[in-house]
Amino acid sequence: MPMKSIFIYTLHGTYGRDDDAYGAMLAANSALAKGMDVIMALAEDGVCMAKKGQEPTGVGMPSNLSEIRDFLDLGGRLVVVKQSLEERGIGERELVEEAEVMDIAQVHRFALDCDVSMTY
Amino acid sequence: MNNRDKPSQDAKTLTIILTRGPYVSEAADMAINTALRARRKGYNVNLFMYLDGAWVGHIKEEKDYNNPGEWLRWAVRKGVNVGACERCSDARDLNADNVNEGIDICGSYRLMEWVKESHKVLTFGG
Repeated sequence: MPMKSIFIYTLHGTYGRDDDAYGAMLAANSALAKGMDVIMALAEDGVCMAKKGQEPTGVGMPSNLSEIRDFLDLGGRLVVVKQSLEERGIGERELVEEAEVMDIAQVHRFALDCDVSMTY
Repeated sequence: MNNRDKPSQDAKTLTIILTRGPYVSEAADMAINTALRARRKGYNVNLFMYLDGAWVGHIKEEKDYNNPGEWLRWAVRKGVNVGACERCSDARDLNADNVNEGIDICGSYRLMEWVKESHKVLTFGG
């Protein structure tokens, strides 16, 4: 019974817990490269990772925007929890265009539908 | 590894992903003990140490308290396939010379190959 689909639940943004955030991106893009279907869900501080136009090089930090670009180009699906955005005062138009904003209950249904769920 | 420690060909496969380092939480202890218990039940078991989980392979000395490094060595002897993320290891200066024997330092593609062939996947960390 080969595993075909992965749900990656990412709870940390790029800054502060950057290893978790980058680790999630690395796993997601590796899975896509191996031909799996991948849904990455951003929740809690993880939603900050999808803010477009991040330019943190001035403070010596990388962003994960290029990894997110690769993820989308490889066919990954990026969903963002609406409630987490609202709690942080982030608007939908501040996110990369392909991000799908949805209610947390909808996001959790993806977790149930996928063969594998990983949390970072 | 004794013949009795080899999984049968029709054994189901469990892959365990460990993302937390040793001692900071019980994640490493739980992950390795779950791997050992699954081996005893006849599963083919893969244990992939990711992010700070890679540090567990670095514990090589004896301790007079809980020792996930010792359990990891035991897991290798019992036939658990143990891998550590290459990038995570490199970032922490972990290599074949300073981790326990039997740990395959490998890329994240190996993790996904293991995931694809598994019947169950468990993640310990958070």
